[in-house]
Amino acid sequence: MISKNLTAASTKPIILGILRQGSSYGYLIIKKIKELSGGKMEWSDGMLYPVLHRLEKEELIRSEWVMAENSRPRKYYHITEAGKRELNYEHEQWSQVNSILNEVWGIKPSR
Amino acid sequence: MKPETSNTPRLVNWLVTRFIPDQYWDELLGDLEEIYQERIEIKGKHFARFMYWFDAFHLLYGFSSFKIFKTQNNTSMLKHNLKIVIRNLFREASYSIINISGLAIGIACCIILVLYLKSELTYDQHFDKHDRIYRVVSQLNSGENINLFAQTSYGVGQFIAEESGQIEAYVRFLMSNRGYSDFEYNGTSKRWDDIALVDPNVFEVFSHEIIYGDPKTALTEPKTIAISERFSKTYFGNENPVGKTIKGLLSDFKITLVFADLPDNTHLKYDALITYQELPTERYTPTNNADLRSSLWYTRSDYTYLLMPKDYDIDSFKSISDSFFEAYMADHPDRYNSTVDFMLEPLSDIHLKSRAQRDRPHGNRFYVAGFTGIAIFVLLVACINYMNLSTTRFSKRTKSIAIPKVLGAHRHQLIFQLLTESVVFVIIALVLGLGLAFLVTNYTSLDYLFDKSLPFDLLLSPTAIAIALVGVPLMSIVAGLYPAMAMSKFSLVRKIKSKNSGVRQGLVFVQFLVSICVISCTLLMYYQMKFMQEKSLGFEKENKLVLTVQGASNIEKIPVLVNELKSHSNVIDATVSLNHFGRSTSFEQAEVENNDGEFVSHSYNWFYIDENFINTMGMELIAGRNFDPTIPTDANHAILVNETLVKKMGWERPLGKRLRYQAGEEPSYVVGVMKDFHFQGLQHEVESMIFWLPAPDDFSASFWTERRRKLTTRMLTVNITGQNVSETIRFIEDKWKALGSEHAFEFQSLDDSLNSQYTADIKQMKLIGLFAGLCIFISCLGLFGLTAFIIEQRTKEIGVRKTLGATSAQIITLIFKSVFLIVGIAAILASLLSFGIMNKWLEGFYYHDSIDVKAFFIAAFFAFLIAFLTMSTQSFKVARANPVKALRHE
Repeated sequence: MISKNLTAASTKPIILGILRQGSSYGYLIIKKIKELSGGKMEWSDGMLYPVLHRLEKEELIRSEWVMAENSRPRKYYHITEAGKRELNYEHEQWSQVNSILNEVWGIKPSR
Repeated sequence: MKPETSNTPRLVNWLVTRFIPDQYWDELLGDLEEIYQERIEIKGKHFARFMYWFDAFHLLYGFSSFKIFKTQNNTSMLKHNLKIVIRNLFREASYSIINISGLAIGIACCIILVLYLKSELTYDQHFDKHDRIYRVVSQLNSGENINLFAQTSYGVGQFIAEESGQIEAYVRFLMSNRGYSDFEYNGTSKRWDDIALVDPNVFEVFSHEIIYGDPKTALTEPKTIAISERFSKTYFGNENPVGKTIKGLLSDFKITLVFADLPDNTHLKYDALITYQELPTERYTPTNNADLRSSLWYTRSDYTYLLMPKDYDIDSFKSISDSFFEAYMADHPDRYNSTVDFMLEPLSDIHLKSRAQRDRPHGNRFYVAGFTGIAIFVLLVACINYMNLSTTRFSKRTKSIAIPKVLGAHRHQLIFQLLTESVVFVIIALVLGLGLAFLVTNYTSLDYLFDKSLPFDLLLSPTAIAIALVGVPLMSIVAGLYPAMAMSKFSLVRKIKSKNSGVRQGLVFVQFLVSICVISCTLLMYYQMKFMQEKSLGFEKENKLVLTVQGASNIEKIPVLVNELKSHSNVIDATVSLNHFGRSTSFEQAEVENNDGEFVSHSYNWFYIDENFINTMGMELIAGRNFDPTIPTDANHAILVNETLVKKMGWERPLGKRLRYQAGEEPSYVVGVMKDFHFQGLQHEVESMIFWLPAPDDFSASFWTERRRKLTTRMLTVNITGQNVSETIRFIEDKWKALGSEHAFEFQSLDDSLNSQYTADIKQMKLIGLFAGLCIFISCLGLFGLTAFIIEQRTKEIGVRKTLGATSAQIITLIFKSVFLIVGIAAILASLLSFGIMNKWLEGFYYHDSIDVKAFFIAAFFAFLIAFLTMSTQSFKVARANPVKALRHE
């Protein structure tokens, strides 16, 4: 299981990344994260919705109600242009962290 | 659009809508419901409901602005507080134990009572359509007499449904314990008390949990039976019995269905359901003929249930009843100006609200209200107790509270610290209370007193968990806020250290008020039960054995049996009646002659007896003569009446007054008047009663079909001396067996069967007594705390007084004075309060004892004694202590 702190820190890029693939609604996002992480990262509703609403306030995503036949109305979220830019920025940041970590893993322990 | 969330836990949805901004509701509840539906399919309803709660709490937390656990500072402060709480818990171990145990006992009592109340208030709600099912009751209005009956004729369901298009279905239940009570399979034989004959659509109207079989077709064929799991296990173990044949007394039955055992909280109790087709066709599918019309007036055999449309207005049934009466009953020749109203009782109201007669035992709303009160009071007493003891403990800790304050701690931080202690104590008490309640409900005979098992798993329902989640903080605040607020305020610390402990004295006052009130109520209930058992019933109920004689061949042998029985020196006499006296009488209406020689309608109870009945039962004949079988006209025409009937009819010369069913018919006439006797429980007023002498049985007549011969019963009441009872019973049993009867020897003591009418009241009395004891025990813990506090505050004063020459007795009086004053005032108020409550309770008994003020004195004396004993251990120690030690105090 991935730690709570790490999960919390990676919320924004993960949501934006999933929404770049296509629009989605709350429950589907939770399911997707579980799928992508092979069950190692589990999000609860209590975590997701406040973040979604915060991202919407920051205009990184926008939402709309979709009425479909044979199912209940669902609130779908779409990524905005600003969101895409933010995702690129996050990508860079995380890549840098990743490369630093790779370096760190490579350092041999001193005797 | 609001999402459809009808199946999801409503309380959760309410919480979400209460605490989360409304713009998010649709989205959150919609998604939650989608997850819920998916989980139902994968892991079942219980798991889905549990997770729904879990997710909802996560949501609430995620959206909350409650930041207490979110900052590093607060977390460490919480850890620090917990450390202090645990340290104090062990340092003041004895106080902690008293404090927690008082609260735990209070919580356990409250949990048990909540389980009981939940069971009482949800009667019959396990049937899915319970809100649409109604029982038809019939009210017979004949002159001034109005009687409401729970049972109706077998024809009411079908014809009332035909009269009104609104009735979706009807189901009849004929509770039968003769002929359909013995079943045998493969050598296993057992008698069952609750077997019903029902219409085949019973499973469509009353939902059951089906284990084996198809409910749609289970009872559609003749000779079919649906059995309960318990019934099935008795004969077949864990095997599937569907398709097998079981032997009954009258015929064999094919088992077609097994349903799960019914819960305890249902008024309809049965172990097996037999198809109604077992009865003759004229009963199963009656036609509108003279027999049916007569039965509508005279037969009250079936419980009839109707399935009505959703939100049916029950008042509108009046017009259906009226038109049914006009169409089928109004033109009956033997109507005697009486009318009948049919009314509906909602299924889930029957247990607590039905007032119908000749019904199975009902619940009592008085006890439900009483136990609700006790549950609240016990918890209140426990909380008060906690507050008292906590303040005492905190007052000993003024230094550890004052120092942080001096060093700059804010008041809210101190409150938080003390409240943490309260929360920890409440949680420990809750866990212990739950454990205690679990042990009590599972391993004691409390079930017997409650008359039902209390399923502990009710506590695992989400609602109960939610109540606990809300209850713990609430109780912690109720119990802990006063001490916390008081101790965190410096001026109040001084106040607490002063002699004036008004608030806490007030709390002890409330505890004693409640306890004395409960004790005196218990005593008064005991007096009433004693009164009922000792009151003369107008006949001798002692030393009477009632034997059930079943089958025509056995009934024919009764005279021989009686002769043989009388040969024993301990057998005085015996009498034969049609029914079990004191348990059931028949009820009918006829035309009775008044003082002016006119026939007027009158309804009455009636009972078939023989000429020995009056003597055997020790009844008193105050006018006229007994039945005489040598006078041929006595059979079916001579009647004995009771004083009540004479009074109601206003007869000046009752002998010779006549009674008839219809004009032109040869009337019956009064030959004797009996002194009034209580043929029903003392809850009921004595009603009009008529005894008839039946014509001798002629079982060779064509009326006596094989089925009727097998099912007919008579009651043989044997009057014994009361010496060597067990030997006498053995003698009677031997004589019974010698007759070669195929039925087992079955007898009951008349005394026991009459007393069984008060069993429910006696059980409730014992329960209330039990809780009264617990109330007092918890109050004592509070008093113990108060005494300790008083002594703590006055140690120095006591030392000074002793040095100046006060005796130990004077010191003890000093300590006791204030508490005794509190108990005294509480006793006076509690007496007034319980007087009012018991007056109301006694209204439920037509015959009752006047309220005995002795009860109030005993309760008050008991309270004083308990208070004295509780306080004396500590007080004597202080009074005898060396005053130098006291003067060195602090």
